[in-house]
Amino acid sequence: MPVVASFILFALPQYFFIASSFHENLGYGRIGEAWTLANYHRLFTDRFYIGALVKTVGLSAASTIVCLIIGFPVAYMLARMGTRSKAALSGLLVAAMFVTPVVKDLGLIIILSQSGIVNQTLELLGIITGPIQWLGAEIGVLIGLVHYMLPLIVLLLATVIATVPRSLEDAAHAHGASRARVYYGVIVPIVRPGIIAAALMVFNLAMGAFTTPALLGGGRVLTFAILIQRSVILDVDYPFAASLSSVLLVTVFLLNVLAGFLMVRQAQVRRGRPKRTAPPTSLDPAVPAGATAAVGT
Amino acid sequence: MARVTIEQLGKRFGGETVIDHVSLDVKEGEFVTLLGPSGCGKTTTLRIVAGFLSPDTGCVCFNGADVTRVPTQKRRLGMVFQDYALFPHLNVADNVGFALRASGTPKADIGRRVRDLLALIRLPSVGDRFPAELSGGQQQRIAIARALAHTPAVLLMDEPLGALDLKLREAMQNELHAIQRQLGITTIYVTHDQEEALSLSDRIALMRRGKIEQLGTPKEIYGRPATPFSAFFLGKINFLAGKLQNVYKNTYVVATERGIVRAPVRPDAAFTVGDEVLIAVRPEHLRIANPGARGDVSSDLVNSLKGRVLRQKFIGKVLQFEVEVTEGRTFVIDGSVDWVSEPGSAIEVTWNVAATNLYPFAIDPEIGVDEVRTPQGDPAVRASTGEGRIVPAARATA
Repeated sequence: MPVVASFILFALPQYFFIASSFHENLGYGRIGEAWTLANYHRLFTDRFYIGALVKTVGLSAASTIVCLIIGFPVAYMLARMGTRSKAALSGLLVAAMFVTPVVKDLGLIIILSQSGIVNQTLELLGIITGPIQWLGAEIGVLIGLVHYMLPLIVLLLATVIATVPRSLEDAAHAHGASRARVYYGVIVPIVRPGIIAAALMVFNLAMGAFTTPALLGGGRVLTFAILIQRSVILDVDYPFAASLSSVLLVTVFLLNVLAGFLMVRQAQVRRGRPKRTAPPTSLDPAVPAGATAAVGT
Repeated sequence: MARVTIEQLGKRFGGETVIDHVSLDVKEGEFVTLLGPSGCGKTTTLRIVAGFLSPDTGCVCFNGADVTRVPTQKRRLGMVFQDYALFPHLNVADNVGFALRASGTPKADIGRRVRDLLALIRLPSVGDRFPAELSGGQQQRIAIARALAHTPAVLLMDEPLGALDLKLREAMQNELHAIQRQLGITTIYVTHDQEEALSLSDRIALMRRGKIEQLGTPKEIYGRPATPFSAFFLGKINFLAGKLQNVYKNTYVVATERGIVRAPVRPDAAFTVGDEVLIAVRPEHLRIANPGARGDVSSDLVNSLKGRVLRQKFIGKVLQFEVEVTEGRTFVIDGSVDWVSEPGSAIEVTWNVAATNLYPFAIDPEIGVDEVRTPQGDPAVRASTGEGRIVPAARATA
């Protein structure tokens, strides 16, 4: 039953929209009968769409990286907090995560506007002379995406970091590792699979994000989600919208598969390191000769 | 190798004193164990020596130099944890060589040193395996090798054998002992396991409630426990309360509910007639005699109490007798298997006066010394057997 239900609810609609991308648009929302690759031909020969795809992937990747850079230390703090403050902060983060991006973006629009607090502060500090055009530009969308996804990545990473026993950090410290070395030599490598999983989730969210690029991009940052919406609403070209959607879907899918593949291969490389041959050598001065023989069970 | 001196260490967590003016001097190459029940402050003390915690008062010195404010990574420590704390993403060789890499030792030297250490712990061929592929005992040996790789000034061990099963623990004890003696590394060892402490340590610091209860060699603490708690925590002990009646020829004469018990006068503990005292005697010093079988029983050198065998328990090398001395008061006696004393039979418990220890009486439910009201309504003192079992205060006094 569950299989049938999920098939009906999930696979069937997907099938219909993917199928419709292989038909001609007859205008006024009507779809032709004949099978055609014309939509895809148009998409892949137009530099505009290719550029939009590259821009979407680039923005998503950039916002994911910024999220990781900001989110990891926060997640670390959260993971190592006392139970009570941890619960309080996690609760706040979950609440922040469920605030609709419309509300979040409205706040950002006020803050980032020409005469907003960010521009005013920067001018007051003498860092800039004229207001920076945050809105209607990639930078604004990037800030919006980061703002939107940060609570999620912090929660995801904190869960992973919490699984690293504190004694590992103590052990690294005790054996001469500095704070930075504990971070990059111990914690990050151990939670790397978790980092990649969290990053992928956030990246996928960014790829499909519509509200943020729509509101903060002001119609000038055309990501794939925006193009799909325009194609549906403005052009009423369902088959082309479907082909855009299919390309977005396949791109996301392929990038995830690629990431998974790289992860597995990295793990294999690590496991399959060439064997160290260990010929018996004389013990060095700190270990007196015969130590091995003397150590009885 | 370093001499470790801790002076007047104090630490409070949220208004609760965890350690209270702890002072300890660990000589170069010495193996000192911090022993005590959970919550006694032993781990906190170790973590302060490691630098994970900073004390509220007092200081830690390595070779006379104050390191209280020196960060952990600069203290040149070796440390072994109860959960091994091996780095799961590094193979065994990289784990063992961790401290050497952190200190920037040339690669070739690291490789050589790692091979030597793996040979020392008798796991020469696991260098390219990962910790998860090894058994618990092997992992802990790797952890020990990692702690020794850079020839640390001090080796700190926090219940290193706590996660291993009994047989493995014994084998590892021997191994640890041999390695520590070989290398002569100053070692501070934390455990709640009295046998481990007795067999491994040069000296034991027995801790309780944030203070050092007694500091001495295993023999000293076991043979001449300074307090009832020391007697209770290391080995087994039988307590009996009484009142000092007389001092006679270097012997204290104590009146108990069941008769006179004698104890030798020792220079370190002086009592005056009329003092409430606690008599303590180890199960292995007790003998069972049939009543009426008068031998040296009446002699001034032997104590004797009448009792009734409640039950006998075979625990391997000894047959343990539980003897009711008076109502609600039992003694545990380590007897030999060929002693025949059926449950219910009336016997006499005898022991040498010299094996008797006296302490000032103080109610202490944790070690099984508490006060109960007799039906007559006057407070009578009850002392039961400390079997290594901690009676929760609330229940014991209820």
